[in-house]
Amino acid sequence: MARALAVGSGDVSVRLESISKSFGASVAVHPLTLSIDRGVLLALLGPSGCGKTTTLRIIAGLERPDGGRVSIDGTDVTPLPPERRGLGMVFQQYAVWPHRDVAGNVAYPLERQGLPRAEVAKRVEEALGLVHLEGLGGRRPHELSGGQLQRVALARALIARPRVLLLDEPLSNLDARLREELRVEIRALKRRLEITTILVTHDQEEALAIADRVAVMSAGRIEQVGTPAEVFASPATPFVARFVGGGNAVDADSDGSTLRAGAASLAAPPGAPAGPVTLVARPSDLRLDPRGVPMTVVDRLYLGDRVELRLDWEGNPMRAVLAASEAAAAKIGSTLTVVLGNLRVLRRT
Amino acid sequence: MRAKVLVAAVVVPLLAAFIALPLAILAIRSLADGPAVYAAAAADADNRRALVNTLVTGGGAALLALVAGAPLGAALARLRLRGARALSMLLVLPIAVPPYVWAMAWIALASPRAGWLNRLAGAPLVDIYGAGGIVWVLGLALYPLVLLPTRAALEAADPALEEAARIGGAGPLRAFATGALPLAARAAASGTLLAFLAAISAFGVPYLLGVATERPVLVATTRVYQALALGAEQDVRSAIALCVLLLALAALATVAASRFGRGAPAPAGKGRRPAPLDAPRLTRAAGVAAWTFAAAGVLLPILSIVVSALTRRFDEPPGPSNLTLAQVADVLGDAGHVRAILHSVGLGAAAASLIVAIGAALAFLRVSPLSRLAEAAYAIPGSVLALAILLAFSREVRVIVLERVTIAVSMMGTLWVLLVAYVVKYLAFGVRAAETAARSVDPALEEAARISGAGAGRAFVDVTLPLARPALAAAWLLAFLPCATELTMSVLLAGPRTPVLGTVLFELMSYADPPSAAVLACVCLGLVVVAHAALRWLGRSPSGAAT
Repeated sequence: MARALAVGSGDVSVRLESISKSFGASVAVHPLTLSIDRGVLLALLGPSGCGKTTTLRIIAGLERPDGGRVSIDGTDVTPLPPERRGLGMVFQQYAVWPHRDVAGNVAYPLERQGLPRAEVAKRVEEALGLVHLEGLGGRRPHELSGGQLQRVALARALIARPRVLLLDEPLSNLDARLREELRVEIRALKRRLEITTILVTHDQEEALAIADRVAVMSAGRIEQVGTPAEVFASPATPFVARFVGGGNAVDADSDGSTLRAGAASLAAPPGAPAGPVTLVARPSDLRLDPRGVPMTVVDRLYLGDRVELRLDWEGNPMRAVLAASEAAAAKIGSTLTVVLGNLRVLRRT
Repeated sequence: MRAKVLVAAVVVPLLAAFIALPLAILAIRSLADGPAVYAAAAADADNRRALVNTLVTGGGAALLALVAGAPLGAALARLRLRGARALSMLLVLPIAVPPYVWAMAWIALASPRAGWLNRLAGAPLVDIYGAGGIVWVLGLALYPLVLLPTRAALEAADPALEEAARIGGAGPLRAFATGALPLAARAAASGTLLAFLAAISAFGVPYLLGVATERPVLVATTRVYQALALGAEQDVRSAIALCVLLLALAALATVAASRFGRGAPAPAGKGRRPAPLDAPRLTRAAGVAAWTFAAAGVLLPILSIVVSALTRRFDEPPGPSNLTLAQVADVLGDAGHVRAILHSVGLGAAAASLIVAIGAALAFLRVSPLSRLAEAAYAIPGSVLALAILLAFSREVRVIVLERVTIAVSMMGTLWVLLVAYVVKYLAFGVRAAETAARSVDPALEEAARISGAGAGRAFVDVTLPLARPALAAAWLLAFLPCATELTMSVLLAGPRTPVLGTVLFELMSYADPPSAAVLACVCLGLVVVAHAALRWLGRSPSGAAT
């Protein structure tokens, strides 16, 4: 919480008011409202088809919303075309123009503003320095690696000092090592330039690592908005529990004292609601403990220092991740007693 | 948005005035007197014969194109033939040369008395005139329409289909027959229908081989030309009726061709191309056959044209002593001929530039019905299109500005009407090239320009156009060639003061001056060679490696 307050000056940079979008019969975004404070890096996180890219493209002006308002720095930009919104954007496939050299790509936004050539050249060098591509202005795009191309795209997005930086899956085309390197750089850039940034990603690890705030989306709706720690530790919905961190989520019925999921049953933790619920527990919060409930080992997957167990809890599939030493006794076919640590009982709607 | 409105404001009226309006007027005129026009036209025995001849020669030429084109396409795609590069260039050449040049070449080779073949044999062995000759020449001019799609389909076929058959126990040829042939069959069928369309639309070949003979064989296009040349009201009416029937036939062939074409195989998943078939004896036999075909069907006629242009005395046997540049000097020294050549090159360049510009504009607008309309004009037989334009623009158009200034515009007999006809007929080249090129550009590239501060028009000009440039340059060349050598529409639309290469050639051929015509045909061949050299150069240039 403290971290969330530390970043962001408190005033709103981007505000979405019940924006919605359908493509034919399929609804991409249900009426959605979201505020992003100035200087905050917000990640829109969700599986493919959840509407996160459509939301980003609506902010960019590349899609026209069916309804609702987009405002940036307090002005309504909904009717404005993308070129008049003062944004920077990095695309998944780089979108670096192959017929212009690196400097030509980076200079383009300033050329469109009609700045004098000397000024453009100076700021291109600055921007290239910002993304560690000093001296590569004369290179042609086909001479660059994927990581370098994405840096060119980043420099092009930043050079005109946009009000908001939009990143559409910017790292998903890169290999794992580069991805981690660029993550750190994006964070550093954002801090240094104090620029409001919206990142679209399907990679929960990426979202949790980079973002100040995470908005988890599913089927065109926002399921939860919070700091990475909040979203990870206290999922508000079964979907968030499943998607972020691959948590266990079992549908159950509660009478306030006992939870029943098919043949399985469990004493309800204090304060659990009654009625249809979903039981949520992270795989890393499952412990072997004689006070627990019986589960059968279906499979064990070796993860190095840890072991993942695929368990059957009276017909409900469960996952547990244990230290290798702890899981030594868990043979396939054996029955263990397991405690669902940090169990959350969410009302099902 | 503003850019789109502006572009649409220019392009839409152009398409309406020059494509939709002439066709509408043709349709209205054909219905003005009720179905009686058709009855009267059908009652005329000459008309009936012309329609039958159209079907027979068109069908025959399409069949010949299939028989020659499909095996050659398959051989080029899947056999390791000797000299494959040169062979494939030669075999594709016929489609780039205007068909009437091939007719002239075969007249020089096989006219009953003066043809080289008959003179070498010492007896009139072959006679190129008549229906048989029309089929022969059109078939040999149009078979690349079958060859090219057949080869493309076989090269794009997923090799796994054949490999699966091999694993299943089939030999290489059996595997080819099971895995790849069915895919190629659709492409070949589509190409055959396009050859049929081109054959029934042809004018020069059936005119040169079917009209100027003792026993004339008229087809629909030559019959329309005759009727319009006679010029009586009744003849014009029957020409309109014939044109509508021809148009219906052409539409049928086009729709059927696109049906077959749609089933074309998608490119192989991993971008792998099927390996050449391992069949040495077949390869050798096919190589001999293909080279023989290229020599007899392509090189020999070209040689006969060149020799005709250079021959001193036609009553003496060919040989080095019987060659002269005098004819070439005469023909190219004639101010009228030079003017016609300049007209053609200028019109070709102007038409090609407009075609590419309108194609790019339509790709920018992305309004599919407009693009389809522009593309559909290509399927209209040239004679029909020319008649429609004749009907639409033969009268003076008076534009009254502010009730004072009257501007009288008459396009007939000017180069403008030819320009309109050429642009409409070959607009499809520009539309298709621009659309394909624009579609192959990742939309994110344009979006990146939008975000960077460019409007829609600016983004198209700064990003999509430069990336599409090699494709547009190729389209320019491909449109320039048929425009610069156009005959079918030109004979109907060119006035006495606006001769073009095609009409001059046509007159020289009709007034029995084949040697001079041969010189101009060599000019056509020269244009083809230069344009194709430029195309190859474009295909190699590194800027084509974009996207």
